[in-house]
Amino acid sequence: MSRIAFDILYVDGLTKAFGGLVALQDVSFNIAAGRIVGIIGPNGAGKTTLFNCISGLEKVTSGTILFKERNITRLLPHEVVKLGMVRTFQTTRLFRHMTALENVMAGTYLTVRSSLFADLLLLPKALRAEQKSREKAMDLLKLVKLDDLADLRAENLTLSQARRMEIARVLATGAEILLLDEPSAGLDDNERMELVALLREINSTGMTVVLIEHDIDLIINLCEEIIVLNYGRLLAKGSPAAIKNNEAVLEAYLGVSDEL
Amino acid sequence: MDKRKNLIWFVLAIVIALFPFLGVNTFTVQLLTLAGIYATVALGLSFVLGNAGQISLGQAAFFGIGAFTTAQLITKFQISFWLALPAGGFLAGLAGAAPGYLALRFQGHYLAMVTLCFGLILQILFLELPSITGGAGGIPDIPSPFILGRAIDNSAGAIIKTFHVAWFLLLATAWLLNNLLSARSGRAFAAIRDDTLAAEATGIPVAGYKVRAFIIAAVLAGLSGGVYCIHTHYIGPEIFGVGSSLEFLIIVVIGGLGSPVGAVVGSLLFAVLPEVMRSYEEYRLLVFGCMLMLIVLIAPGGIWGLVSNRISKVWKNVKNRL
Repeated sequence: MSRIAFDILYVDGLTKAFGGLVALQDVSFNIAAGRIVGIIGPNGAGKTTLFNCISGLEKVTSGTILFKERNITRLLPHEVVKLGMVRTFQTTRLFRHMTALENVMAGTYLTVRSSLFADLLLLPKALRAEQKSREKAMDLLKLVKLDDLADLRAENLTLSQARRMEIARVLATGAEILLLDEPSAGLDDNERMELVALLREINSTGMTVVLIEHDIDLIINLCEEIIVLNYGRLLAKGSPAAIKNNEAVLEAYLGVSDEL
Repeated sequence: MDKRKNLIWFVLAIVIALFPFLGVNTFTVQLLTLAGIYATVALGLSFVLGNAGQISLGQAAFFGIGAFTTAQLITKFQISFWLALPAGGFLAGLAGAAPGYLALRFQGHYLAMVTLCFGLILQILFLELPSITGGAGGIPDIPSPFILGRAIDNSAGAIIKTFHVAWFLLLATAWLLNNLLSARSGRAFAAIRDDTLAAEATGIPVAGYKVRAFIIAAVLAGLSGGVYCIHTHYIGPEIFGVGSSLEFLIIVVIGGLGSPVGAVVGSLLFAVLPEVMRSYEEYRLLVFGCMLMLIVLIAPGGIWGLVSNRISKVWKNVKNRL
């Protein structure tokens, strides 16, 4: 696979085995900065495992992950976030005792600095950080249209609201690439359309977005590029049009060769 | 953060300063001094449990490290209490890092067991290292500290009393913790409590914060132990065992987890109740055990959780009527 200079993410020969079960086998691909890329594949294809490996949650068995030319294969999750890559999870993971605003403020941990010492004594530095974090979080809540629910406890948000809050929270980390694990799961058609519009808006600011999806229509509609996984292997990668007409994809993913 | 909150701390400081001179008898002052000492330990434990979401069943061990360190520095080395106290807090904090690192590998029940064992090990060390802790005999005759040439104790003549030392330590640590919780670090602790994985994935270095939570709680217990040794003038190994650790846990749960006021309420009960029912002293733990069960059943937020809920409800009603 050729490597282009502006690749933000480069995965080379990634293999992940759980005991005897090989979840990912020799997966290689690159993602250009600023793209929206979709990852599809049947259940058990290794999509979430791929995210877990890239984000540092799982140790890879072999292979290399480069992010912005830097080898991040062995970094801890929070170190990966610090470099500018952040992910969400298949199920929403909220800080449920905090308000929506506080959740997003927690996301500013890396971008608005203070210290334990300054926080203990409530030094001006800590107060300024607090103010800045609040403003930033509020701006992001506006972006995801949750600003009127800023003071609602996270556990009281609807699924659609919670997912948008999560997106605000990951944006707050100052990331350059978002890995979203099935952001549309459980949403109705209207909410899906809102999500697509939101992701387009975020992408238009230069943010690279990678999402795992089951909703083929959403992926084809939204993404510039699609990666197809099957049984832990990379089956195909290309534009939506190319993927739609790829024989191997139709065979493996849809189980039929004359549809779509 | 706002001016009104600062006023509350200021008023509390004045109340503490004046309280022993409001015609309260020495016995009550003694009792409340003990409550203040317990409350500082409970405050730290409440923070670990309620705000950082980690469990520690060995808190009395840090209380002991602070007490023995302070007592030895005062009696053996004739070092001023005012230097010995922070030294005790420092050593307790160092020791507190140990279960903090263990918390990175263990969670839930396993962490509970590991910290319990840690407390047991230190309990044995307190007993079996007579050169440091005085062994079974403990350390007797710990003198009162001096300030401006005057002894600090709870006698009627003393202007600055042990009561003041205990309660100002409590006030200062409560203020610091309150600051911490209202700022960036506090949110990091709360995020770890609510969802450790999401916290890590949000860029919060979870490991570092877990260790910090244990260190903070251990320092509070250690400082508190230092005050305890000048209050009782004698310390023995039996006071810092696993039994006491469990008592601190009971204090925190009865009072209300994760709230400084809860820690104080629980400690007041724990110090005062045995005196009220003095003739049934041996049934103390029985009463507390029953109270604990009742509270877990009817008010999981502890006594303070129950009361503050009621207050906010009444306040809302009053507001609506106006």
